Amino acid sequence: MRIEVRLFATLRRYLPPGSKGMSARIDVEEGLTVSDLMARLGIPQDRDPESGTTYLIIVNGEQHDAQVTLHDGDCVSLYPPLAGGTCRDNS
Amino acid sequence: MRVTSQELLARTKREIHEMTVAQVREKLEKKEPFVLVDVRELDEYAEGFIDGAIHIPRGFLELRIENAVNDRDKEIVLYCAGGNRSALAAKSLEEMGYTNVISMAGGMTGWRNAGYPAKKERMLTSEERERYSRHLRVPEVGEKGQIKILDAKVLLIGAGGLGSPAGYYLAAAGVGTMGLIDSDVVDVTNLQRQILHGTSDIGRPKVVSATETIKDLNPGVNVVTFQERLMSDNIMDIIKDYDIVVDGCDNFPTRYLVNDACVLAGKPNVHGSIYQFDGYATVFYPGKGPCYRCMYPEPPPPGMVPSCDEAGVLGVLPGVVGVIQATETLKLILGKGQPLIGRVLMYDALDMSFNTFSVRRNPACPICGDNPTVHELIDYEAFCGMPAQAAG
Repeated sequence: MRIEVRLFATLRRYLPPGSKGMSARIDVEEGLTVSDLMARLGIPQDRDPESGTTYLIIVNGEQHDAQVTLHDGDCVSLYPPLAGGTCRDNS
Repeated sequence: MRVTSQELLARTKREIHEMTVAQVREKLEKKEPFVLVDVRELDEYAEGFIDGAIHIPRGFLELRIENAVNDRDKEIVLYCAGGNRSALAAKSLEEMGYTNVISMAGGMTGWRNAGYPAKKERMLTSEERERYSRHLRVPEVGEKGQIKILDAKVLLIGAGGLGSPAGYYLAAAGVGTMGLIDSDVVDVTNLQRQILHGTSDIGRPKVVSATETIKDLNPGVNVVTFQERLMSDNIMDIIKDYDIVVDGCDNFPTRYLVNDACVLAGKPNVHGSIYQFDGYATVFYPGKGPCYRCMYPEPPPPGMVPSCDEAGVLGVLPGVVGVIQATETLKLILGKGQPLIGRVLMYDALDMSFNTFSVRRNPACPICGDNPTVHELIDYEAFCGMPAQAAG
């Protein structure tokens, strides 16, 4: 099945080679979870996926946890937390 | 035919209907369905008016009455200071076809002399009216909205990349009291984006240069500065005096500190965060939507998310996100529109796209959930596993 992955900000670097902008369409097997997808893309998961994740996970516009199973045509967006604001240059 | 003003008034009063102040008072107390119109000038109205009256100055009465009272048979009671202008006004409305117009004899002077109460509302000064004239023309703002803005107290966390555009525009809009908290001094590398500061400010405290810039733009803003680090032991005392908190800080401990303090204090928290070409903006409003912990229950491990100074940021990016924060702040002040409560706006400058997605309150959230476990502020640097950093 084919899904769309959108990775924002600090996660853009984990898009597959050849991706344009912040999204990629990739072929994956049935039954894949978001947690599996993150592992596939090499996105670090700091804690047991059962208990949550560092990232905000949006599948087809709805907030989900990392254990949600993906289906053909799904659009998965991962939003990392961003510390930035004023940006400390002189720290 | 020439007549004196006295003759004109006497004749007019014979031709129209008048009521005493006592009769008008009785009608108001009985909540009779009529329209009470104060036809005095703005400065007179500002000194006090009868509660329930609408204000249409005599000079605009014929031009504006139809917008206020379209029904020609509706009972209208006009009053001025002494009952003369309202008599002439009543005559004029009768000539427009209004069939049930009454002038209150004795006017506001008579009303006051009878011991009846006058209401006094905060009014814009003539200088404010001119400065904010473009706001006054916007129906969603208007005079009442501008007064709300002038009475508003907004705390900016950080006077840097996000705080600069947010603070600058909020000052321009007339936010009456603006708190600025930032412990930093201006560095040359700030100037690529932090527009409250200039080259001559290098080495000066950011709160000082920001205050000068804001005061130059709008001397009417009361700027309260805090050149200190925002900590668990000072934040509650600082935010208690403000209606809205605008979070433009630069580190996770302060993000969680500001979130928890705002939840505990019940203050709306207008959030913005940026990275290179991307930015988020949202509004965390306790009791109305999720908080930062609902989105990100725990901070990322140190080093997992590079900071702005490590990764860089496009100089104009905080301008866009900070102005969105300012916009949301003004919407909250005005009570207009749909604020970003429970929605995150994601801005991708490379793609030049804006997307919003919904986030929900987490019933298991440790601070705003159904059974919160966090009841007081904690050590946020330890929580984030990071060395101490100053807010802002």
